Amino acid sequence: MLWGYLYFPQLQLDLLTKLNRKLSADDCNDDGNGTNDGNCGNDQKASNKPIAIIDTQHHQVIQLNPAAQQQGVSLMMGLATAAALCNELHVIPYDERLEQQELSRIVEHLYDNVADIACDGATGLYLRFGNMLRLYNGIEPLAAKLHQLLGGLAVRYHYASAYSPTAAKVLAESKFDCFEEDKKRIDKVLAKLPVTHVFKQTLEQQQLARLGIEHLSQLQQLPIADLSKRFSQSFLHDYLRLMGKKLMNIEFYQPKPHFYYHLELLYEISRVEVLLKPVALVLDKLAHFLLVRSYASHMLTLTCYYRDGSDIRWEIHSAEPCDSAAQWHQLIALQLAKIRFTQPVVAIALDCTQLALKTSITPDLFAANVPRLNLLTLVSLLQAKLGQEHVQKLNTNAEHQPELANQMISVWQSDNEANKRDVLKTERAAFQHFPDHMPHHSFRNKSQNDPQNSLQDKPDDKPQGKYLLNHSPILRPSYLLVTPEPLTERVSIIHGPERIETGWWQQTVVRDYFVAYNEQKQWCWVYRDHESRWFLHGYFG
Amino acid sequence: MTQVIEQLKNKALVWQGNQFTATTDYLTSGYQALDAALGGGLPVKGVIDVRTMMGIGELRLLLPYLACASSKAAVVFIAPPSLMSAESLASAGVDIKQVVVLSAGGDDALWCAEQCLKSGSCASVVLWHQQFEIHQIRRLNLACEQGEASLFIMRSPQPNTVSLPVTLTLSLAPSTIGINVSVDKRKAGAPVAQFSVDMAELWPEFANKDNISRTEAERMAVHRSSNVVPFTELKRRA
Repeated sequence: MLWGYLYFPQLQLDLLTKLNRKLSADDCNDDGNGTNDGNCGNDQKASNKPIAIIDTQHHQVIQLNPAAQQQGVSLMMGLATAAALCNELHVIPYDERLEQQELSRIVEHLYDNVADIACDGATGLYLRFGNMLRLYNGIEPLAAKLHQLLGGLAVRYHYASAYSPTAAKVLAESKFDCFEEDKKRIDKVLAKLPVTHVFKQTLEQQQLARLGIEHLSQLQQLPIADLSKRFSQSFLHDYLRLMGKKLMNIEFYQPKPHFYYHLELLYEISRVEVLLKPVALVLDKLAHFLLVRSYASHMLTLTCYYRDGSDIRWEIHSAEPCDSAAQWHQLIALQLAKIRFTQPVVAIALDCTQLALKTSITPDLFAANVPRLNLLTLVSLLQAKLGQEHVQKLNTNAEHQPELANQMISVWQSDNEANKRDVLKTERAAFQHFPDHMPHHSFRNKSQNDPQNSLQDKPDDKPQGKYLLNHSPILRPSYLLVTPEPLTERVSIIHGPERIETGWWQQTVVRDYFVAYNEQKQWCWVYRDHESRWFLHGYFG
Repeated sequence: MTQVIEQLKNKALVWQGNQFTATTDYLTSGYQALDAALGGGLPVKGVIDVRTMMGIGELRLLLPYLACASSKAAVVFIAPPSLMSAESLASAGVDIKQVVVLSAGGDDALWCAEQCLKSGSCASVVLWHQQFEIHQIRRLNLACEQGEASLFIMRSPQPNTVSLPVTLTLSLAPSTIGINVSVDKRKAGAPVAQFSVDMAELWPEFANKDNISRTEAERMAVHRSSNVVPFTELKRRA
C-alpha cells in the first residue's frame, strides 16, 4: 500500500507570518485609496523583523524566519547565542497546542479530497494513497490536487511517498519532496538515507556508529535475527515498520459530527456592525460544512468572548432548516441589532449541533406568485426581530374553560413534528371527552331554524377528533381577555346563557355566559359565576 | 391652481377618476350588501383602512374574507388588542394553522407588517395601529403589491386625520342587526354613504329578532337585563 506523508517543519511560524501579513494588508485596506504607501512599506518591514521560535525545554531555536537567518541565527542554536547574534530577535515560545489546532484545520481542509488521513503529532500528516490512486488515476493528479490545496494555505511543507507510513515520514522529514509510485526508485532513495535520519535516539545512533553502519542499505544487508540479538525491541519494531513488514496503528481522521469554529479576532471589536464581518467568515465555513453533508440546521449558538474572559452567548433560531450563510447572517444581524457590548470582544465561536437532513420544497410550477420567503422562513425572521415569545400561533386545547381552550403558543416547528403533536392531542381529546363520563353541560338557547348550521354544512376535511369541542358551532368572542375582569358597566343581555361547568377535580368553574350589549354598543361576552358575580370575558369583534 | 393640482397629483395625493381602471381582483366579503357597495368585494391586495371601535363586529365583517385568505396562504394578526381566540376563528372557518399572531408595537409592528406582506407567503395582514404617515402607507402599499397581499389597518375613528393613500377606507359603526358601514374612499370608485350590513345569517345570536325595530330591541334588552348587576363600586374606584 502506498503511503504519503506531509511534514510541516514550521507551522507556528507560518501561522504567525500569515497573521502579520493579514494585519498589514487590513491596515493598507483601511487606509483606503492607497495614498499611504509608505505606511504599508513600514508594516512590511515590521513583518520582516527577525522571529525565532524557541523550544522552552532546551532553549533552542527550532523555527526561524529568513530575516533571522540573515542575521546568522540557525536552527538548534541556543537561545543565548541567538540573542547575542541578533539583538532585535523576536523570541516566541513554541506552542504545541497551537500547531495541533492548525494541523487539524489542515486535515479538515484536505479531507474533502483525501479520504484516509491521520495526524502524526503536531508536525505531520499520514495520507493513505493506496485507496485513492484509482479515483485520481495515478499519483500525479492526486499530487497536483494536494499541492493546489496546500498552496492556498501558505504553509511550508515537505512531502514524500513510500510503501510504508514510517518510510514516507522519514523521507518527507529528510526533504525528499517527491510523490513517487515506483517502488524501485523509492527503495533506492531509502537505501541511501543516513541512519541518523531514521533513528533519532542517541543510544541507537551510538550502537549503529559502533557497527559502522551509516546508511540504511548497510542495515538492510544484515539478517533480522542478527539485529534482534544486538538491538533493543523498540529499535527492531521501528525498523520493521520502516520496511513495511510490521503494521502500524494509525487512527484516521473522522470528520466531526457537529460544526464548531472558534475564531480569535485580530483586534478587539466593540461594535456589532464590525463584528458581523468576521461572523460572516465563520458562517461561510458553516455553509460549506452543511453543503458537503447536505445538512441544514434549526439553531446556531454564537458565543462572544470578552476581553476579561467572560462570554455572552445567543441562540439563533430558524423555524425552517436553513443552510444558507446569507440567511443566517440576516438572522444574526437582526438578533444582535439591539445589543451593546459591555466590553470589547476578542474571540467568537459558532456552534451548530442541531443538524437535520436538508429537504427541499418544490415550488408550484404554474403558480403566478412565487413566494419570496416561505412561511417558516418569515417566522424565523420575525422571531429574530421580536423575540421568540412574541411570535405566536393559535392553538385550541381540549378544555372547556375558554381561557384554557384558547391559548397562543410560541413554538414553531416543522410540519411533521406539529402533525405528530396534533395527533397526540387529538387522541387525548378523544379520550377526555366522552360526553357520558364528563360532568359537562353546555346548553344554549337556539332559535328553531338554527341557521348556524349553515356554517357547519361547509365541507370540512379537518379531523373530527380535533374539533370535538366544536361539534355544534360555539359562539366565542374573537377578543378574549386573558383573565376575566369584573363587569363595571351597564349591559343588556342579548343572547344566552351557555353554561360551562368544569374543573370539579381541582377548582370548580360554574359559569353562565351571555352575549351582552354595553352602552358603547360593543358586543361583550359576560358571565355570571355561581355566586352571581358578573364578569367580562371578551368582546365579539 | 393647476400647478398645485399637478404637484398633488405627482405626490399621488389626489386621484382622478379616469386614472384608474377598476381592478378586478376582488374577494367576496361574504356579505351581499358590502359586496354590492364595493363592486364585487374586498380587494385582494392593497391597504384597507378600517376605522372602527373595538368589539362592534368589525372582525366578523372581515372573517369570511380572512377564512378565504387562510385557505390560500397565511393570515397574520399584528398587535391585536387582546388574546385572539382560536375557537372563534376556527368556527368562522379560518384555518388556524395558517394564523400567526405577533405582539409588536410602534415601528416594529410596521416593520413586521411590511415583511409579512412582501414575503408572498401571507395572504392577509391585520394590523392594529393608530398613527400612520403617508410614506409608511406608501411602503406598505408597495409591499402589498410585491407579495399580492392585503393589509387591514384597524384603528379607532379620529377626526381631522391626514388622508392616507390607501386602497379603501371603511368606517364602521355599531348596529343591532349587524354593522353599519360607510365607504369613505376607494380607488377607482365613488364613496358610498352609510349602509347596513346584515349579519343575521352568519351570526344570528347578535341580530335581534326579525321584526323588532331597533329602539324596541333596546328597550327589551334593558328590560331583560334588569338582573345584571355590574360592579359599580369598582368603576367608581377606578
